Amino acid sequence: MTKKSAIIVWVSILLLCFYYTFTHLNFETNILKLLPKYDSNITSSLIEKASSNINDKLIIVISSTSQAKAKANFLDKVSELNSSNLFKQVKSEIQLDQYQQLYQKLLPYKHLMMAKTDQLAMDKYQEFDYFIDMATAQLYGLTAVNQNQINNDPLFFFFNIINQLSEFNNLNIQTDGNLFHVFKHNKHHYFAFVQLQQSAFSPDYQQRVTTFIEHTRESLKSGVEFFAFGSILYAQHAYTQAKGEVSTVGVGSLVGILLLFIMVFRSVTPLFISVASIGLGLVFAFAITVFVFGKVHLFALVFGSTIAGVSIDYCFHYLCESTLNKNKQTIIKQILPGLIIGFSSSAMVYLGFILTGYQVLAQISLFSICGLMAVLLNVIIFFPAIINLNKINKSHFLFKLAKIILNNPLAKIFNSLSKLVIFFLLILLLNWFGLNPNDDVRALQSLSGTLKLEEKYIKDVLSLKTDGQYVLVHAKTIDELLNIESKLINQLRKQNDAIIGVSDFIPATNQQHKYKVFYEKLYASDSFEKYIINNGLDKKIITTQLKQFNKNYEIQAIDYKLFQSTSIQNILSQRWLGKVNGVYALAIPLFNGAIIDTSEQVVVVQQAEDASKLFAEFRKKSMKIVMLSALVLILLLASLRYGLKKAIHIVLLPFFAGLSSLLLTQLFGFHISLFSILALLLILGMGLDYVVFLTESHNPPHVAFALILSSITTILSFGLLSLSQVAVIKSFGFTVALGILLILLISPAIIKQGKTRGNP
Amino acid sequence: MKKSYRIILIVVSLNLITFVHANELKLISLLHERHVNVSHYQADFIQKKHVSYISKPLITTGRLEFALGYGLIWEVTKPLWVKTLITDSGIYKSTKYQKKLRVKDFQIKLIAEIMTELLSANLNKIESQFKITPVAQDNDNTWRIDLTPKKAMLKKALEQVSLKGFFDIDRNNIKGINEIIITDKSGNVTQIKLNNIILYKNELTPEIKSNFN
Repeated sequence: MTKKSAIIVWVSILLLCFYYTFTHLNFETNILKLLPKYDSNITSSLIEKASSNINDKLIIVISSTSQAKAKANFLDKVSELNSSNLFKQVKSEIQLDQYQQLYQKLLPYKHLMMAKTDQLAMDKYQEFDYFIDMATAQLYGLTAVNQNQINNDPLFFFFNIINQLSEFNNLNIQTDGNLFHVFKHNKHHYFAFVQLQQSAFSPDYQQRVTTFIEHTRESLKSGVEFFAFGSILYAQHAYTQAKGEVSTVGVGSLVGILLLFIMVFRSVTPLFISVASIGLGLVFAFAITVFVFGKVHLFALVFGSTIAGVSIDYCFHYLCESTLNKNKQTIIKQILPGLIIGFSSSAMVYLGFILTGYQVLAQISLFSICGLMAVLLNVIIFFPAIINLNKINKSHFLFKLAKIILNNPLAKIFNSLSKLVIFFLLILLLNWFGLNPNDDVRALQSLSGTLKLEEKYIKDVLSLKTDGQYVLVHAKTIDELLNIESKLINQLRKQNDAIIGVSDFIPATNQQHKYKVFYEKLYASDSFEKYIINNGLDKKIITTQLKQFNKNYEIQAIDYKLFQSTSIQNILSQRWLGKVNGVYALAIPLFNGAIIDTSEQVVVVQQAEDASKLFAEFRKKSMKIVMLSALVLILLLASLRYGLKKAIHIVLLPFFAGLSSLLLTQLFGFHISLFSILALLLILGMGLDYVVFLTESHNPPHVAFALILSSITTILSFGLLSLSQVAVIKSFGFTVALGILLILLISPAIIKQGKTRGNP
Repeated sequence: MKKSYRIILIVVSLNLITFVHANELKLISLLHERHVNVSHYQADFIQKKHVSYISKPLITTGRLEFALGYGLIWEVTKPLWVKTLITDSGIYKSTKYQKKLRVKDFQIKLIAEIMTELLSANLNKIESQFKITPVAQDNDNTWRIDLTPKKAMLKKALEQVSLKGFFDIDRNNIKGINEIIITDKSGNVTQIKLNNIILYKNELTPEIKSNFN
């Protein structure tokens, strides 16, 4: 292939990638998608479904010491919520019609259902006295009874079933008229439960919702407070914060790099060419990653984009060489072996991350390899055709600095392979025993203090207690699912009698049969007859009830299509997950550390804790892969080019810098996690370039000059990341910046003593 | 505690409303002032439910007790013992079978809402929920206040709540509520007569507090 045709092919590929990128811009911003997947695909899908049921909700509260003020403002704002076209549904009051519909739907099945308290009593008491006494108490009680009630449900069994429905939500809500209202802490609080129209993780929608909420908050009259709580608010905060940080880091490093280019090359052309080259590399990487994975997680994109810091080395290597060597034909020839070995070494380390099985790491890995390769090709293909720089005066202070770095004491110490091996083993042991990782996924996000306070306030007013722990149950049929759930509920009830399940409401067919047999016996009993007569009720009630068990009228099993009706779905929205991936599923919340027997169909989910455990596993796995990659790299470099000793020297230098940086990161009080291993990976990637470039160069001061420029840009951009509010990003930035400084200082150790060091 | 106020509020409201005879607004506020420091209230009751399709009245006797900050007890002794404790944390029923079984009862909740509105002794609030009609009965030295629901939700359950009591001999003050009459939408009437009313304004004794545990 000629040079010209190579350029045409490469440009065509880049144009194709441009087109693909802009027609397939598909980011994933959902923080939950960042969490590692569970082993079972069904569990992951169920978690996704359960989370989406929660994530698409927003609770809005308006409070005031004056009920009139709170109510007037609330009604006003509810009307604005309804007319905003931003929300699918706004529930601010009890929907009596819905309860009436529910009552009508369930009434035909009343003898196939039983309330939790009655179920327990049925199992406990052999005689019917308990049920007769409870019905008597209800009949004579404070509350009213009507004719329909007595005719349809003389012993109040169905009344109890309807009453227990409110137990499906864990909220302590009272009412003012029909409106949801709570009086607590001497304030009147009115509530609206809002269902979002779009995903809580769509940045554009987040923006519109938060703007609307802020406008609502500001438009309230004095003495009235506004509170809101929902995933969308946290997601919007995280997105805005990330955008702000990216801008700070981006602008900060861009200004620094611009100054550096002008100072060194006295021209901004090399900067534009380098930035364009890296930009094209990122577009190429993005296109390939979207093509392979369908979507790129924003987190993978942010971490993947850090290859800009690695690939700028290729640009600097060329730029510096071109300021010193005027023969364009020989520049590429001289630096090509270093560039290719540097790229291959970095790519090999990145490649290992695909083996972890964690999709976000695999995305980062593919993105980085493709990006580095594209920038390398850009440098090889475009730079000789475009770059034409003036010669740099060798009295430039950076040359002097290069000289100092090449001769620094650390480089001299590690020039001895035996000393390097000893120090490496020491630092490895210190890392092994001294590192104290924190794999808590909550460190991935910096939650807004104000939003947390609002959440706490709303949860307090609603007496909402959540441990964030729940059980996911799935089965092939609804009947099997209800049976499994019923057993689990019985198990949980021994630890907490307040628990209620979907099967307490709509039981499995075997339970339905059990209840029917019980009711028939009870209505045919003397106890029931006495109850009717003693209390002056109409004797016809007995025959009406018994008639329902006659074969001619016998009721069929409950039609499970009931689960699809809106009124039932509203009641069970937090529990019933429906059909997911071909199985039926439901969720049961767990409180106070309840213990439950798990199986393939019963999985206890504590998402934050589970994900933290998985992160810890991936961290350990990643560390092993990095070690293994280093070993393979030594063998490859040894067999293909350098021999064993040299290969060990080349690989251990960046490895030592990376491990030392990790240890120092911890000593400075930063967070160590899976993402610290990513930092180690980046140090290895860049460090290998540094060492290989120096090894391959016949003129180390030229390379050192390029390395200083490269390290300044890297330290600048990653150092700024350590100002982030997010613990893992802060730590990541610090580790990389420190690691690069260390590798800059120790990489000259690869140069043979007295050969060319210090003679530019 | 909101719920606990409901029934005791009847008492307070009755007293309040006595003065409506002369000046509705003034009487309500005066009676509220008089009852605002009541820390403990107790009375015996006889409840008669007249239900149209039940051939005889359903008669219940028992005891009503309220302690400020602790809750309300509605204790039925006949025809069978049932003690209902209403506190901020929920509604609990005790019977010979179970002690303090937590229950959810929409109707009790609804009654609680009404009583809370009355107990607040805020005329605006009472008026927002009910149309207030004072009925002075000069002949037999009794007073009566009729409360007719305004809101749709209340209207679906209640026709009217009447509060009745006696004037002092000089008719300048009241002796307290001694009857509550609730008429539901089906025309069924529940009559609650209160006797042996005892009002405390002192600090609650440990004995009283223990009743609510």
